[in-house]
Amino acid sequence: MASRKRTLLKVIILGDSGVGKTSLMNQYVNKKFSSQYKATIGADFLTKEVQVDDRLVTMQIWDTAGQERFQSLGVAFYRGADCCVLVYDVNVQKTFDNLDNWRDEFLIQASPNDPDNFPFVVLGNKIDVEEGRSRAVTEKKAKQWSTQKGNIPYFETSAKEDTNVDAAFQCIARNALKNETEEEMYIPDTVDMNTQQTASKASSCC
Amino acid sequence: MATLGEGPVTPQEEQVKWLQEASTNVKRNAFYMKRAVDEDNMREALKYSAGLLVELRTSLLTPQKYFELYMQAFDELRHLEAFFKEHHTKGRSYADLYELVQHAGSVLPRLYLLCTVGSCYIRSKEAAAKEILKDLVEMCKGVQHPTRGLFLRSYLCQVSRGLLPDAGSEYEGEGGDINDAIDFLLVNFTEMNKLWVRMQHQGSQRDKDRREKERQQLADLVGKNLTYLSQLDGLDFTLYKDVVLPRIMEQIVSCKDDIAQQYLMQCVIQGFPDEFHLGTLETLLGACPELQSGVKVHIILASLLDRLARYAQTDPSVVDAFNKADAFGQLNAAASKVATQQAEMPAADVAAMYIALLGFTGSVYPDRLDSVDQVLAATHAALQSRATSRDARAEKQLVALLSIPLDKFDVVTVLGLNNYPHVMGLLAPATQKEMAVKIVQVILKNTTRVTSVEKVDMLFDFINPLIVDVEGTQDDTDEEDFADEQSLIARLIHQFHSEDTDVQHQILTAAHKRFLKGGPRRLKHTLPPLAFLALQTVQRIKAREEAGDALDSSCKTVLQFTHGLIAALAAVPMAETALQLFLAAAYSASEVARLELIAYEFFEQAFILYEEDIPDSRSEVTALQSIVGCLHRCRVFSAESRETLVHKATGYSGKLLKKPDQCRAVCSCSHLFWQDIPEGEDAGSSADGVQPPVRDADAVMVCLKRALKIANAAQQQSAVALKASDTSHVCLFVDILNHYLYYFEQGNTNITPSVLQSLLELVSNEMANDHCKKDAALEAFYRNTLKHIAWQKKREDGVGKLYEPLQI
Repeated sequence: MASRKRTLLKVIILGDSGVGKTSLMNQYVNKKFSSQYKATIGADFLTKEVQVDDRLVTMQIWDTAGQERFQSLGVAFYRGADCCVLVYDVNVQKTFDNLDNWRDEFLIQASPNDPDNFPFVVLGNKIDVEEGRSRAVTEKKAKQWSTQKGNIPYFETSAKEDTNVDAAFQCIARNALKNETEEEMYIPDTVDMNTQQTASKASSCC
Repeated sequence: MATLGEGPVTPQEEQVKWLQEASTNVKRNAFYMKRAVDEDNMREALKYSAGLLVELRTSLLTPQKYFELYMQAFDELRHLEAFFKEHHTKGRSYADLYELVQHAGSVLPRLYLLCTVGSCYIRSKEAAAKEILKDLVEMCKGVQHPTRGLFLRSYLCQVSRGLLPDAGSEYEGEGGDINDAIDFLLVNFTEMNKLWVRMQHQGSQRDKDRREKERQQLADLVGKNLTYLSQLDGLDFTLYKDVVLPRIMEQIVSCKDDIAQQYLMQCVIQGFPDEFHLGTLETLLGACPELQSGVKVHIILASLLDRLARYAQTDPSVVDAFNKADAFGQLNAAASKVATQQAEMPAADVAAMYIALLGFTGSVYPDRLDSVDQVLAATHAALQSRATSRDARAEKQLVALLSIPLDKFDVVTVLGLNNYPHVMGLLAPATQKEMAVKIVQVILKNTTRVTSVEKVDMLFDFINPLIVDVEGTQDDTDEEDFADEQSLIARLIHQFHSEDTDVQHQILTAAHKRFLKGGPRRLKHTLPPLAFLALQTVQRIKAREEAGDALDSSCKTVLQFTHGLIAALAAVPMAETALQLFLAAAYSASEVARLELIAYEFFEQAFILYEEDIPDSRSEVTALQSIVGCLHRCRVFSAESRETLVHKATGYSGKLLKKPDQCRAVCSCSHLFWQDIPEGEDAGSSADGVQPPVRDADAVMVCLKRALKIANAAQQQSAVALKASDTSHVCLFVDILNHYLYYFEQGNTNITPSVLQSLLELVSNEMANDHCKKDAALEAFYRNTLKHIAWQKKREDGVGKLYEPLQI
């Protein structure tokens, strides 16, 4: 069982309301874009098969609600994530400022084994708006932040014009795969099916 | 591990324990399930997957903990799903598998498995998607426990995502069409909402709070359906308007549940696009009055208005669309209807609703003041019957409401709206005052000018609680707050400005009349700035007079008006300030208006105050300095009147209490006989009622000699008092020396080098005293004076020559 091949990568997209999380996912998975704003309620995922070097893996991409009021059930789905994508809108300063909060919140809730080296990727979205004239956050600023937070890869994207979306997700997949942390392994003490109640927790936990 | 036997105590610990137990069982079963999958043993795989799913039957966990367990089971089921997908490649039919999983013993695991197989079944296209979906959504009715049912249906949606026969989807056609996709989601939505609402009515009344909290946590599972619906590619406006929205609204309204209505209305507003809302305003707004009385409709409306306002800003053509749909009219009508039909709606909420409407109006129609007035009218109508003045929350909202147009439009124009005073009238006196402060602050912030008597009068009506005592507003104001308020008014006065000086004079008069009603406490704050504004007006009138304009208000009339103002201030009593203002007015009368008689009268008034009302000697010194300083600069007076005034001032100086004060005052008075010659004027010139500068060398000398005499007297006084360390008289000598030097340089012929030389020696002797050397300030003063002389001696111009004979 320990040799069971990991074929499923879990990716969580986080960021403020309206930065384009759903659009990025839709552009990447379905090659579709709509400029209408529709709030996402709750969290849900789309899957996409992706080739990373010689491996074919399935990416489970979780799109989340940016509006707090639509996050009523909590964030149990963060657990087991292999990569976290932080998205902001390059035209709205506040969405960039909030990246810190999203990152911290993720690390607290998902509690990965090695929080310092957990793979994040930052996307500065909507670079197409007014051909960049309405930008509020410079590429330099964003890169600076990403570097400070442990060399997080940074991409400037446009879900609308499909700029850099594939490249970003390719990087996301690669980094998720690199995060090959030991999956919590369950090995039952007993194989006796008639005494189910005596089975206890895995011995791998310390 | 916790101590065995005792067991967990708190509900939270209990939850953790239960979750842990269930989770262990899920893991164990998943282990065997995966082994069975590896061995390609379908029967065993199903058995253990059912085994892990049984854990989801628990009723012990709160929704958030249940969600954690669900996520765990969900992740494990992906392995089974992958196995099912392989199943197909091995040439086995899904129809069989779909049958097979239904043998699972208990209903919940069976339905999870069915959904899992169902999704693979659709993907295989062995059967029409719509048939399978219809079957699944129907079969799920088998679970009627709210939490379990909601999660099961949420699972159904999750696994069927991307498999609906949406327009352009690969499952469209034989698999069905967009209508089937919509129908599937709507049925699921309706069923979920029913489960969710039913939860409210289960269990005892005692657990109501906990139950409602749990329901809030489950909300997103229901709302999620609306996100799925709005993400369908085939959902165009017509389908939304004719099919989707009516069915959603029907469900929302008919469920008659506060929590569901509050939440789902928000979901509709946030989850569907702007264009759809604009086209269906009637339906959306029509539902608002139908909602339960416990629903906070103002939050729902605010949310909608906020969205629409932002939408209007994306593109100018949108505003046209708004007009076409009469969005404002519809929204205004809807708000009124809500306020009327929901009689128990708290006043604060009504006000909040109108705040949202006003915010919308401001951003969509930035220049439509009539709309603002309409909203104010509606607000007034809706709140009249609700007692707002005793409701602190409502008052707060009303202040916020009244502040919105102040920030967006010209303040004075807003105050002129018909309905603004009506709404303000709803406030309690104390709050009206708070509002008054706000109005003044905004005017100051925007530096709005108040340009006519009518406007000033209107403004005063609004800020009346700050201008006069109003019953019910004074109790909680301490002195400091009061002074702050009044200094706001003082600043406000400088915003009264008309280009027409006649109007300006009328404004001044109107303001004065109002201020007089405020009593002495206020007058001391309000009259001084008003007096300065009046003097500024004199300057403007003079400029216009010189330009040849025909005016009603002359410098004279305004100065007379100013006279009355200052006299009122003196009566407050505020003698010192009034004295200073009389001097300022005298200067203005002399140097701006060139009106000798009036200037003289102002001095007279200042003298009367000096003689009768200056409280102590220190204030006398200050006041006298001001008198001398002002008189020195005035050049309108004929020799005769000047003599009278100067005589008085010099007389005062001799009567000061302390010798040093007398001495210095006399020195100052010497300057009354020695006026500056302005650049470009000759010593003897006079023009436009200006007298030539006075340069009376002998009179100056008389003053200086008197000063020396007084300094000597001071010296003797301290000798008598045996105060050897007292150096103050030496300081006076140095002072006098400096005056001598000034006149020496000015060319006063009475001051010859030899006169100066003897004074220098006198001072130098005094300075030799040990006590003087220790007095650092005096020492520096003296040294600097000598330095000055040395410096002047070095000059190569006439001054250098003048100083040449002097020896230091």
